[in-house]
Amino acid sequence: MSGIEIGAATTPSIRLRRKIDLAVQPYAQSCRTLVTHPRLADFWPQFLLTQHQIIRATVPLTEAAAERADKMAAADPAASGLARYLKEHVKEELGHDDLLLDDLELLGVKRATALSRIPSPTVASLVGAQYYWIHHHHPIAFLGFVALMEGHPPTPKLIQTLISATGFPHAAFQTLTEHGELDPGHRDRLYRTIDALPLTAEHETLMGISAMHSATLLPPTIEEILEQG
Amino acid sequence: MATELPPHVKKYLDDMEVSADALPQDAWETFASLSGGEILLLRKLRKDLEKADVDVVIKVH
Repeated sequence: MSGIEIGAATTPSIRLRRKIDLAVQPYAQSCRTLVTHPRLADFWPQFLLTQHQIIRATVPLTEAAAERADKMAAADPAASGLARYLKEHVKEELGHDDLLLDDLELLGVKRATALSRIPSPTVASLVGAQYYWIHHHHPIAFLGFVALMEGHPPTPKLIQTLISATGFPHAAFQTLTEHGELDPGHRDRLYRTIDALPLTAEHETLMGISAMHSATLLPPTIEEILEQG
Repeated sequence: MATELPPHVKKYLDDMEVSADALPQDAWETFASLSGGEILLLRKLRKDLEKADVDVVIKVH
């Protein structure tokens, strides 16, 4: 297939999406295993606890990335646009961790219990890698993480499947429902931002590595729950 | 712009027993754009390229 020129008809966001589509397949398989598991109701609160441990870091991570981008803006043409996007993204994500704690309370998990659980090394690696790239390389890496996490929002059909399979009330799926409604808009704004930024090839590679590294750590978050029984 | 796959991508596809010639154009372009680091991450996933049902993906952000 030689002779094809890459990049001519695609944009940075399309290239990033394609990389994510490639890397997210194992996580999709892990989700399938969880959703079809006969003990889904037993595992669901633990799954939400893990999700909370991840999303409680979203706003602090975004603020850290925005602060670093601000500091780089004078010398880096991509950083000022990145900082503007991130400051808006903070507003998009505020309170989502609290909403998930509300869902957990409806399942009988107290807020104090949820907050006292020690996050797994997998969760720390997933979130911690972003802090490393933000502080020690370039905050554009964080957009790869955001693109992965905003992609594939939960569908109403999936949420209904989860309600039926667990027997838990619809009210306990408020976080998933809200993300199903909000994520597509957030995702579209992210893609528009990525395509508008003056990105270099290195920026694109860094976003790809960030997204794909994160994708390698998502399947273990489910496998560890299932293994602990 | 690349007109052929980089050596690290060719080796990955060979190892996965995937023919580059059989890839759809968008997949070919995606692989052509992957850095060595990104290929290492694909290897870490230790999965083949078989498509899964992404409608079942559950995560929030």
